[in-house]
Amino acid sequence: MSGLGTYAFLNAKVRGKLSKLISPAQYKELVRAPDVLSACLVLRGTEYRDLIQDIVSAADLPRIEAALAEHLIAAHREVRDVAKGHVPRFIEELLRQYEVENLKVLLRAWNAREEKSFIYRERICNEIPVDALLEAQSLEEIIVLLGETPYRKPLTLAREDYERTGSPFPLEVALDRELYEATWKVVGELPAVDRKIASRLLGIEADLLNITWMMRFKRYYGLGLADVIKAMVPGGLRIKEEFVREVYPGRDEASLMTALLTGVYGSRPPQVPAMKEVRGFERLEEFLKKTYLQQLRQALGGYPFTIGTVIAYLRLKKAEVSNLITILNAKALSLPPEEVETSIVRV
Amino acid sequence: MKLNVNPNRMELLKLKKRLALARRGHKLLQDKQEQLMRNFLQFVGRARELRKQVQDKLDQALRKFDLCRLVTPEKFLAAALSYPKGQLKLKVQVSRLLNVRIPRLELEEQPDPFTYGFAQTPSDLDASLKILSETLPLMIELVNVEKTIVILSEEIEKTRRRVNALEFVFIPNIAETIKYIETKLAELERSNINRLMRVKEIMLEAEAR
Repeated sequence: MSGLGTYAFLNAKVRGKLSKLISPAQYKELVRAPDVLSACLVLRGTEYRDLIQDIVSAADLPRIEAALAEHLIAAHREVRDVAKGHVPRFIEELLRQYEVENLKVLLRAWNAREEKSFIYRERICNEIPVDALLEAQSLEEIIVLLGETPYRKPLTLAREDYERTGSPFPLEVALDRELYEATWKVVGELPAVDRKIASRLLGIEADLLNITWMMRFKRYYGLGLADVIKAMVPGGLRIKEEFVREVYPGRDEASLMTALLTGVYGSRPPQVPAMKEVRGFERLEEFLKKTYLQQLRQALGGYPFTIGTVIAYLRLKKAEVSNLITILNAKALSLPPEEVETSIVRV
Repeated sequence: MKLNVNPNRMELLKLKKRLALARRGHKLLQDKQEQLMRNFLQFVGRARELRKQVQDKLDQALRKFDLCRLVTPEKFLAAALSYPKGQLKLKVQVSRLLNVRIPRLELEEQPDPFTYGFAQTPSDLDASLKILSETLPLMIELVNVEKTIVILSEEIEKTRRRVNALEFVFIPNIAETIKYIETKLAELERSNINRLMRVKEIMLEAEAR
């Protein structure tokens, strides 16, 4: 099927959805809203009106967060359902990210025998028996219960590390790796044009995650090169294993940041101050997120009948939901508008 | 108020010994009180300094935690913090300061605070937990210093009561009793001399007759 045949309707649908994203003026109003309820009033003029109907106080925030997550899943499904050809399979992989996130939360709750109310119980991509998993007596039982889902294999491989450390961390890393590897496999099966665009956008995403994580490893965890490489997200556009092997060892935070940014952007961008400056790290994260959003916007400006439009919409939607959670939490914490403005990332 | 004792030389000697002992005890207790006071003031200064440091650190940590809370949905944050990597181990020791028993907590083992994955957590959570983890030894030190202050203040109060009891009750009472016995013994002595003089007079009068 040609790009036009695959994307004609999908592109129109996605463009329509893009026009419903929160506008800069609405963002401004949200940021200036004095409290959670006022922010919810602003949201009445957006796609989120149904989610905030029965919000009466800041105490309802966990419920809004859950509803927003569900909304994001629904947005993926809506696009998937009108897509044709190879696209639904690709969107299914993007959607699986939320299932993996939920499964990781579930594993932590199971491991700590703690509060379970915040776990999403509906089906996302695979049949996950949430209650049975929470009641499981051992990891072996969880692996068996996961049946034919893609999570059985990574959990089986990480079982030994889990038993050795007693921490769910190796299980989480294994799930993340499985997800990224499967996503890259699906990307590899896309037609040439789509493959190129998807590799670029997802590669940038992986680069940005890897830069942030490496800085965190260096600053807070003091991890060695082998552990860093093990925890890295595969498929980075510029940040590849060889590059990490070259820049990570023997550097301090500041020079690592410069080396990473130089490797990706040619030099340290002026918006990002040196690491030793107080807000160095915060600015770096903000800069990376903004850069990624700019790349997504650029993808929307090119030839429309490609997978770029779909990825851009879904990731922009994700960023929007994240911004909304930030704004509502900031309102609940009574933070001033200037601080809220610096905490949200938009282009 | 004088003590209820027999006014004789035996009692006088005993009381004089007790008075000397009480005065020596009073002096020692006064010295102890002064030293306790000096230590108390030092600990108060240290506690003030530590409290400020702890307060500043907690402010920083909570500020970072707020930033983390802003961008992280509650379920991810709850999951990230639900499983600690290890247990905090404290050791209790007892030291002595001017013979006052002071308990002291010592951090034996502090677990790694970073126990979560990176995919759903921002770096602000790392920063917040790092600051909190650095604050913990300070908080334990603050607990030690504040407990020492409480124990020292109780001891100072106890010592002050003892010093006052010696100074205003026990020593004056013994002194008054000693004075009473001495007066009584002097009186007895005088009346004895008078009696002897009177006997002598009678004897001389009888001889003259």
